[in-house]
This record gives sequence, structure tokens and C-alpha cells, in this order.
Amino acid sequence: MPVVVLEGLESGDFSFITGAEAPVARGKQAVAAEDPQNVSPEFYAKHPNPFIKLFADLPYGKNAYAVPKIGIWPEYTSEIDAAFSKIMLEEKTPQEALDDVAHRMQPKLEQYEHRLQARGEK
Amino acid sequence: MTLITRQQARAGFAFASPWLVGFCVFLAYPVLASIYFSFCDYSVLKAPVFIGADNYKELWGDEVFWTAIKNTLVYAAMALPTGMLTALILAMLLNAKVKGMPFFRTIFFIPALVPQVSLAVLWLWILNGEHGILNNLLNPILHGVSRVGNLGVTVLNLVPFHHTYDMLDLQGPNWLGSPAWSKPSMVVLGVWGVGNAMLIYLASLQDVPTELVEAADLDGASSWQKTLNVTIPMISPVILFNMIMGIIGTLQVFTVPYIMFPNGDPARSTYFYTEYLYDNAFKYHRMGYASAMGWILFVMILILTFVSIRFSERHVHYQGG
Repeated sequence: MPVVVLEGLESGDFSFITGAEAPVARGKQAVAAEDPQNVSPEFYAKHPNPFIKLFADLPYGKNAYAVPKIGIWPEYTSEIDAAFSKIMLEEKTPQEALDDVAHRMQPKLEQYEHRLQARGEK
Repeated sequence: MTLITRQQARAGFAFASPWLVGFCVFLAYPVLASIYFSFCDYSVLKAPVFIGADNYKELWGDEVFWTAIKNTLVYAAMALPTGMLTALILAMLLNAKVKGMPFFRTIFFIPALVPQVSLAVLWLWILNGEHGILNNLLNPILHGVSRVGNLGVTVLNLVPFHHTYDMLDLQGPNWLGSPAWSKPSMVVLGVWGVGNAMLIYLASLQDVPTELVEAADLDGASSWQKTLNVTIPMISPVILFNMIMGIIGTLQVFTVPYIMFPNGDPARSTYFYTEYLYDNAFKYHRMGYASAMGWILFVMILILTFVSIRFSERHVHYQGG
């Protein structure tokens, strides 16, 4: 099973993060390695969790993404939380709020990559 | 140094060693190390890598950093005068010669002893916009004000009668959910913690020389004149002390907003400096960045304290000086 599944996100909005396809691809490979859809019907029938089929189907939803393995991901989720709050308060439209997230996170992503290079990890 | 003196010195250091070790390990080393870490890329999990002033440069262009500074300064500008004034007024009231004063002093001081976490949870209930006690008390009053307002507008014949009922309908604010009210709610809550400052004011008020007050009485000074011209100047060093402690306290506000407003909600209106520092250190594992923030806060407090002392030189009266 994947560690985390995100729903309701349009892929274009977050391309600058997921643009580095490798982490996403790795996430999807991890999902494929333990593919819950390749199990027998008895697995679902006998499973103690009555909603296991729902969880098994979630990673295959059209809006499902594996969380990128990126060091600034906690900062990124914090920005998303702040954007969501502004949308809920009707201070910004979803487009404006997510543009702000991209605007704030792009320099952080570049800085992060710069530091990886400084450490010799990239 | 004689043998006896040397032995005494050794014994002295041995007895002081618990404090010396604690001071070196838990204060001196972290403080000095944080200077170095502020110039490093340091995640705690890996060895620090020196990156020069990059952390400080990045902070300069970090929007969230400036938002946190703005929030903290706005909160300090609201909370500091409110807290100082409330503490002073309470201390003056509690300095009156009234029967049962020890009881009143205890009652007003007790809230300052409530742990910060309990205080935050308690005020989450009180300030709840829909079910909180505060709005339950405010709403009937505001409803009455609305009705009087509507009646006034109707009597003045400004709008047709059938429109007036819904025209004005004041309600208690959404203290926790509205960016406009989140900081004022923190200020209201902060008044609960004035007990310590109040106690210091009270001690200083009891130290005001009675002969000065009696001399003012003989000169025919009113209560207000005595307060303004005798009491306030005599306790001015304590006012300065409480102000400096207040500046430090409000700029370092952390526990209550961290519990009451997770992630600085609503819309980062309560995202204070120390919260961003904490998030960088322990959530994002950017200890170098957080160390740089710590040193910037230290410099900010140092400057504000220095400015306060310089500007207060003319207004603070020291009895011995």
C-alpha cells in the first residue's frame, strides 16, 4: 500500500514539484511492488477491515499521487495548508492561492537543490 | 596561593560544579554552537556544512519570515500596552486599604499560575465563535444594541419599516476563525497572565514614600494628580522593568498560539516568529536556518531593549540616583 495518497489536486498545479519525476516514479514503483489489486477475492472477503477494497482502489484513482521524496515536503504541505485556509476564508481564489504556493516554494526548491549540490548529494 | 586557599578553591568549584556543568552543557555550548550553525546547512541528522551567510540571505527573501515578524510586532504592539496598563490598574486597586484585600490579591494572581497549555485549551472553549461562553454573553447585549439601532433608524424614517428587522444584527466575532479577530483574542487571553507584573507593581506601590503622598495632600493635590505626579514617577523604574520583560515576552510568544492556532491559522494571521523558528528547527529539520532566526530575534530584542532604556532616561526616576 502507498504511504500517503493525495486527492483532488490537478497535476498541472504542482508540476514544479512533481516535475522531478523520479520521486513520483519511485513512489508508484513502490505501489506496484505491493499491488493490492493482484490479490485473490478471498483476501477482500476475509480481511478484518470491511473497507479494505476502498483503500486498495484509492492509489488507482485519477487524482492519486505518491508523495514526492523531497526534503522540503513538510514546508510544502505547510504552504498548502495556508493556501487552503485562505481559500476557505474566501480571501483568495484557488488559482491565486496555489499560484502563491508556487511563487513561495519555487525559490525554496531551488535553494534546496543548491544545498544538495553543496553537500555533494546531487 | 597557599595550600589552604587552593583546597578551599577546589572545594568551592566542586560544590559549584553541578551548576557549572549544567551551564556549560545546556546554555554556553548551545548558544555558541548556534552561532556556528547559523552559518551552516544543518539538519541535525547529518553533519553541518558551512554555507556562509546563505541562511541570512535566504531569510531576507523569505515571505513567511516577514509575515511572522509582522504578526509578532503587531501582537506585541497590542498586547504590551494592554497588559502593562491592566497590571498597573489592578495593582493600584489591590493597593487600596479595603477589608479582605489578601483574598482579592490571591484571586487576581491565581490565573498567572495556570499552565500555558491549560490556559490555551480553556480559552479555546471560551472564545469558540459558536458555542463559547464569551459570545454567549456578548450576543444578547449586541442583539439589544441592534434592536435599539434598528428602532432609531425606523423612528428617523430612514428606511421603510419592513426592511429594518434584518438591517442591523450584531453578533459576537468569530474570535478563533477570523484573521481580523485572532490577534485581539490572543491579547484578551494575555490579560490573564498579568498576575506576575501586577505583583511587581504592587510591591513597588507599597514602596512609594508616604511622606511624598502626604506632602501632596497638604498641597491640595487630587487623587489623579497624586497618581500622575507622585506614584507614577516613584514606580517608573518598575514600569521600565515590566516593559522590557513585556517586550521580551511578547516577541517570544509561543505556547498559547501554537496550541490554539495550529499552523498559524486562520490564514497565517497568528503565525508568530517563534513558531516559524520552531517549525524550521523541528518540523523542517533546518537547524541552521532556525539558528539564524534565533540570532536575529536576539538582536531585535537587544535593539528594542536598548532603545527603551535610552528613551526612558528622562522619564525614569531612581530614588538613589
